[in-house]
Amino acid sequence: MKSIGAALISLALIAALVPEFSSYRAERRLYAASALFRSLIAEGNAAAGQTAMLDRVAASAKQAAEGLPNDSRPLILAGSARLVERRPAEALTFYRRALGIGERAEIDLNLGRAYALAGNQQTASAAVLRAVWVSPLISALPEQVQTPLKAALAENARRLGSHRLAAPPPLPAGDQSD
Amino acid sequence: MAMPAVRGRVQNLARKAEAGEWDQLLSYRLVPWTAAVEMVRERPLLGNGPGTFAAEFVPHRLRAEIFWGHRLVNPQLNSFYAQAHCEYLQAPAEAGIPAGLAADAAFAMLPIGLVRSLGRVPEPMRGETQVVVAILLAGSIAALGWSPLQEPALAVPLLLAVGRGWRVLGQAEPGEPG
Repeated sequence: MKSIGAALISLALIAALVPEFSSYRAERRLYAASALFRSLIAEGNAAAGQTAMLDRVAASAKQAAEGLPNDSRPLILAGSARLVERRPAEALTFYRRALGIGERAEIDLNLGRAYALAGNQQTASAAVLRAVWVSPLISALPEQVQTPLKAALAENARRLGSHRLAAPPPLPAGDQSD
Repeated sequence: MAMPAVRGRVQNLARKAEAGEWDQLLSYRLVPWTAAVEMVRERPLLGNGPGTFAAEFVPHRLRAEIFWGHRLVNPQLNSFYAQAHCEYLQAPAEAGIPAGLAADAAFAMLPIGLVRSLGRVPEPMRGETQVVVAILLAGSIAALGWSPLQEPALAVPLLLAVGRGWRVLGQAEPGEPG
């Protein structure tokens, strides 16, 4: 009886551990893809021409996403590779999938960048305002982006303090997380 | 207060308490705590599901801001918390009040039961029991403002201590508490 119990416990442990191997493999793939992407964007605007390398980043990130189904990082990376390649429609698809896993300020901000690249400035502004409301990352943004946001943030904060803000700045329609 | 560094830290905390700077005093833990409370308010019976705190954090933090009329951001980070930084809140937020309270009560009752049974455990096990109680107490206190059960390196020894504690309780002689 004891040996049956030990065998069952061993099987349960193995069953619990097996998925971890694919997660670790995905983490290693994501690390390598992130490092490659960092090296590419260090080149500045020239990175947009590195389509083969950016495709490699996106492909690796997509593979990593399969091993990390509840993690938005590989999807953000894949979206960012497409964004640098100036393919905003594909970037938006990845960012929306990332948003479906859970909202984070960096996803909102990247949604804004993708909308802006697609020429949808009004929607882009809404996404960026949401990002800086979620996280105080405004100081990391370029000055010309900060200026109009500061007034909107201050107005929202004032209304929040007097309990007159009914809802936070929303995500663009179609991207709502809640 | 022999150590100047500790004395300085305590004085600094006292100054923040006097000034009513609770966000800074609590190292911005009010941010994830209020989000967890909002999750409990939204789904008190069954919670949002085990392991969902990170995914649900941002929308619930934003709702908590509206409820309290107060900005809840951590200016030092990207204002994202994957854990509630309080196990006693994360459990009901993810699993609902009944299951959360049951888990919290079970975790609290074990060290209490062990302390009460110290006089009844066989003499060779008494020292070990004291060590188990010390580990569980340290974990219980850490769980007030942190997430030791979400960190594998801490969760494993804590859960081993819990298991050993149950075993020791089972071996204590029946009778009046010692």
